[in-house]
Amino acid sequence: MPRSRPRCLILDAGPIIGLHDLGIWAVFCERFGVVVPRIVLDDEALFHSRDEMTGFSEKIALADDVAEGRIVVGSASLNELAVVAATFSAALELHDGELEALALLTLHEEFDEHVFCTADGAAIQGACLLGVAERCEPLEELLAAVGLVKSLTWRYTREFMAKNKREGGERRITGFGTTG
Amino acid sequence: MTVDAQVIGSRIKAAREALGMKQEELARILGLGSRQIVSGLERGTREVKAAEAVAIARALKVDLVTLLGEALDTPVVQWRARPADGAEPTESEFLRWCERDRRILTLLEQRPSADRLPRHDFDLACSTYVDADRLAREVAASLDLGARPARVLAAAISSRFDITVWYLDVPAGCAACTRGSHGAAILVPRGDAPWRRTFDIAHELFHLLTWRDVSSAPPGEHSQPADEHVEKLANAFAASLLLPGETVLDELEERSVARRVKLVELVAMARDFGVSLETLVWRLHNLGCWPDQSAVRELLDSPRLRGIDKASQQGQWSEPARLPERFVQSAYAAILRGRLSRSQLATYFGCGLSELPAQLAEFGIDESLTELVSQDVSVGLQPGDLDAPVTPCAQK
Repeated sequence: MPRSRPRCLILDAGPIIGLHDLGIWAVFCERFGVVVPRIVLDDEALFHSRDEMTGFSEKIALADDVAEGRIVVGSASLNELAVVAATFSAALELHDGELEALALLTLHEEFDEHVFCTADGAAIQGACLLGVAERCEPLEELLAAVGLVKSLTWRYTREFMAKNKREGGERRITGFGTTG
Repeated sequence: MTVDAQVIGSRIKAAREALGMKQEELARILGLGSRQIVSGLERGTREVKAAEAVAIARALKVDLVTLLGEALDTPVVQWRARPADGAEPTESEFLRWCERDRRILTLLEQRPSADRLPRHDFDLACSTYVDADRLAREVAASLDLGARPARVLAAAISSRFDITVWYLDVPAGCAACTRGSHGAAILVPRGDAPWRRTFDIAHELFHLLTWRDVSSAPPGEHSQPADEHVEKLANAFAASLLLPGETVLDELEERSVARRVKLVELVAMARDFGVSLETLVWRLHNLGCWPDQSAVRELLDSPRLRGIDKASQQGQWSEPARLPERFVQSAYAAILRGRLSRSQLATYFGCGLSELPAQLAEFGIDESLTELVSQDVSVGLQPGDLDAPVTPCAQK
């Protein structure tokens, strides 16, 4: 029986860090087709964390995952980033990597089937303003779908996603936060 | 919508030139083979990947959103003393923070404003120390600075005048200020002594209050150090503001016995008022104590006094917070409203995303508590639950 094609996702830094903290990053990459925006991948500073026990600074390195094909890197052009940023006008400020994730999601045909997994309220609202709210999924939902049930912090839950989709949807309707 | 590559190229060029950087240097930083590639970027003839643009923005000390957004006026920066190895990198860094502050306020639908900062019609060329002292008294009264102004000055100008104070890693003595469409801000060298930093703030406040519009000056002449007379007026203003005449003389009398004051009391007084010993002694001189200037210099050169002063500094040295309290609180408010990304704030802090809660905790922000509030956990009530008759508890 052929295996069904895994669901494909675009991740920003939050879920990558969360999955590493849970110790299920490798398993997650086996179950899903993971795309990481180039800017997120390059922003090593974001992945630094201080070990609470030892006090030493550590960082998550994704280079091996890329080299060995466990994750795919997505790259947008500057012009595509500008298109996405212009949609938000001056009412939303995202990290450059999140902007690239949204550019890949909305402007790249090869990622038409992908969903966006983020733990950032502003990034979710950005997706709403771009009209792709339905393509945002919380980490909780994705993990549950493949039987990886974990206790997650608020930002990874369905409730957090729903709250920001609701607020982003309202902003889209009222016109606040878009250039019209 | 598409972005004109030439427009972005011209912004890259402007940001590079603002730094005083040559095309060769930018090419080297970016690991590009030759200057011609940078030239192509600036002329808009070479397509740029987003990740490359991020690297370019970082090398040029601007945020990518600045390269993508609408061009703004070039703000004017007034330097007390320019860094010896060139002011441009520091100035770009300072203005980047001012721009971030402006963007955060815009996200919160607040207009960055220098309007709350009173503008005094001060003829700088003809003004005297008496005028500077009078202005200091007016400002101290309007800000309600009390008897120890140094302790509250930074917070007072932030809340009352909307002035943001940025503590950046710049050489000692290189304070600066700016006032324009992005609001008003002061740059203070982060590594300076606490009393020096406070004096810098008071000094730069004078420049902001007596700001002259030089926006019509030719490009390249916008950012200039003030002239010597104006600097002396700013120093006089700062000394008067931090050391209110009557209060200082009363304090000196308290600490004196038979019209003599111990050196240790003089040093303790400087620490109490949050100023350097030199500032205090010269202020006392200007208030009529030790009228002989050579006696003042002799006193300040006294090894004994120097020794006591140095000893008193132990335990008094503190570093300012990495970012201004108001900026962090505003940024976090924007995060809670889904207008600013946490990753972006982590970038502002220069920390990892996992370290952000600890950084915010330093400003009294407990993210876990805020998240609980955001979850809107509630208990359902049945019809009639609130109609129960209220009866007093039976007491034994």
